[in-house]
Amino acid sequence: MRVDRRLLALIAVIAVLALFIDGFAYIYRVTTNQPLTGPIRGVPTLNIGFLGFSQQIYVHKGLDLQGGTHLELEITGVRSGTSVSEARDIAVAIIERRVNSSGYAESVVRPEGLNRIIVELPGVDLEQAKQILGKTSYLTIWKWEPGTVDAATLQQLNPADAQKYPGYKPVFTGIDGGMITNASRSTDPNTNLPDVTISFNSKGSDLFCAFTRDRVTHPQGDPQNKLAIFIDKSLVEDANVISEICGGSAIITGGFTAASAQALAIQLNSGSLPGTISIASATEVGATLGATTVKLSLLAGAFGLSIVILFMLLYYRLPGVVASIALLLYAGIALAIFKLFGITLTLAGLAGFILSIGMAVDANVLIFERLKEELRAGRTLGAAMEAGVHRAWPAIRDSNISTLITCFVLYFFGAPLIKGFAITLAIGVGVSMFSAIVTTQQFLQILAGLRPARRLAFYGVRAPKAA
Amino acid sequence: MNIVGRRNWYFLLSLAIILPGIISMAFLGFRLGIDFAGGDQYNLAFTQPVQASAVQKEMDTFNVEATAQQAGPNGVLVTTKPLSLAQETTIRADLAKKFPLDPSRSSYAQVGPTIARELVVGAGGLIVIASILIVIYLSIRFNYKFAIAAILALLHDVFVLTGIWSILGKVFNSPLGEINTLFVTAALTVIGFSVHDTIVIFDRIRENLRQASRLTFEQNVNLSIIQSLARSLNTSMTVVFVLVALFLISPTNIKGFTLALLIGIVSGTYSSIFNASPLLVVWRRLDPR
Repeated sequence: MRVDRRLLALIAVIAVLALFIDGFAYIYRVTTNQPLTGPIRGVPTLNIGFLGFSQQIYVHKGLDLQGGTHLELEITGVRSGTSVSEARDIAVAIIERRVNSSGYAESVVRPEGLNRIIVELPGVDLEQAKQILGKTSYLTIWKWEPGTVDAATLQQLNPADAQKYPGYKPVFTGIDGGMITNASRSTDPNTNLPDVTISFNSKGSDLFCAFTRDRVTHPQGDPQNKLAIFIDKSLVEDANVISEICGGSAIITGGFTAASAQALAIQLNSGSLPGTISIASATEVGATLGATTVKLSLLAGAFGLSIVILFMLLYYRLPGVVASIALLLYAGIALAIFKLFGITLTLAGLAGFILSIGMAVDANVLIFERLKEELRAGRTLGAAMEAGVHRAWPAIRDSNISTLITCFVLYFFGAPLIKGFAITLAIGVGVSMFSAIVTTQQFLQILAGLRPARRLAFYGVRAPKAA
Repeated sequence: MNIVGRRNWYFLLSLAIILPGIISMAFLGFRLGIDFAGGDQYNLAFTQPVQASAVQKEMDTFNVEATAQQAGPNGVLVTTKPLSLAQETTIRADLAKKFPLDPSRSSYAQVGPTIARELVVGAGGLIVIASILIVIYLSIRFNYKFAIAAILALLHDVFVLTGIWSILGKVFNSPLGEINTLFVTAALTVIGFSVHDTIVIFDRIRENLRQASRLTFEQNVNLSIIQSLARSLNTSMTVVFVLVALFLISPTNIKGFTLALLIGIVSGTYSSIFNASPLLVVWRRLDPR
């Protein structure tokens, strides 16, 4: 086998690309005029306009590495008429909105299984997380009609609120928080006072339109002109209806401060939670603890890598140099893949990666042991290298495929923590096969072509006597 | 070197390590972490030394089945039954008031009973599914005898690991011997590594068998083990280097994880050299087809 220039070019291109992505944070700092050390502003993003390519490039750290709170929520007691998975999706949307309106960066809210929701809040402790999630509340809109309040209504609402107007009773309009698609704090353009804008879905919009059209017919000041908003049992808003509201959105005004308007918006958003949400599991990691873990893992990785390289150099001599270069290339490519595809690195993920270094070395060890054997048997360097790679291949293939099978099972059936481990290990195994087979082989072929590199002592083998 | 000839001694050594573990597992069971038992766990870090007994005394006032254990001079690990949110808030506030707590270096975890149950079933299932798929793959690549020998070696490693964990957790009452999700991850890694190691030797046997030679099956297997020995030891050694480094510097919460990997990898190397391939010879003698 000869040196394959196309393969060499491929290796070079991949190496340069990997180096570019690994060092992208520095390129980003330079292009955005930032100092090379210290905290970075913004997220390093690579934009290639004519390809329509835009990708954030940085290491996504899991909560165990950067500190924060991980919650697994469970939704129970789903109101009739809604399926559990619908309820879950509604809840995801609502929690997402609540988390975003609280302004926490890089938070994750996603459904998990049939009735679970995963919430990840970096840099947030459990107490804050509980406040963000808040209590689940149920919003209803009522109208006032002449009559006396019955016992059933008194069960549902605070008696004092329900009996606000003597001679009138609250009657449910059929509009509840489930029909609100969004609520947000806004500002009245005329008075500059804070208010709250709510948007309805089409059913809510129709009901609200008909309801307000009916209310406007009553004179101002008459309770029958009013619109009563209850959250859980309490009356939070009792406003006059000035005109019919049919656009699908409405504005609640009246004596808000910025904070109370914000609070009501959040409550209205949560008012449409279609069931009860409870915490099935929670993990909180302090920020310093996470940073310590990262430091230790990197130290262990660097230490492990150096020992492995030292060992390879001492034991395998010249091929050890090749293996070390291949190993560094391997680490560079794997890191680039983690960055480019936004793979979240967790502690278990780091362990998987460090373990895959061992497996990457293994492929080289297999090849070099075979190489030594072939050399001892008296083959020429080139032939021995070819035979070494060729005969080591089935073992490398079968052992790595069985590792990939394990990764596959872990990824598709494992808990989230185990998934992270499986991904990094699988990437590690995949890249290591490339580095061992393609890179090592090509480098060895280059060596075989160099006259000074032909001394057998460089390969840790004595010249065979019989040859 | 005749490894296959002395196989019974090697089997005996394996048995000597596994048996106490099995006895411990059967009679004492495991020290289950909250991942599997459900409950709350505080990994408390303090700004100055605090005795676990002091924390234990404080926690006893809440009546939540708390156990406090020392984790380094400035650290205490507290495990309780599952707490409600309100209880948790009260306890945390109380601990922060009574002790010099450093929240940014502490961690906390809560696992509800439903999730715990799923994890137990899930972890067992993962090992079974992975094993079955590997048997299928190896049956295609080699034959079913090789596949089953590889799985036996794999089970050997799983038993060594879980047995030692049962002894660590129950006999020595060490937090290191806790069965949690990280332990399951370690066990699964060990499975992958064990099979990886075994396959390399099997590949050599397969290759040697194909070449016409006057060697008996037994001699052939022994030769293959010797030929692969340098590779087996070198590879395991590099991984062991990395793991020892990890173990020495890892914080308490992952020390158990790295220790499990370390034990498992050593056991995996042993079993692939001294158990898996000799098993093929035993089988050949019982069923010489």
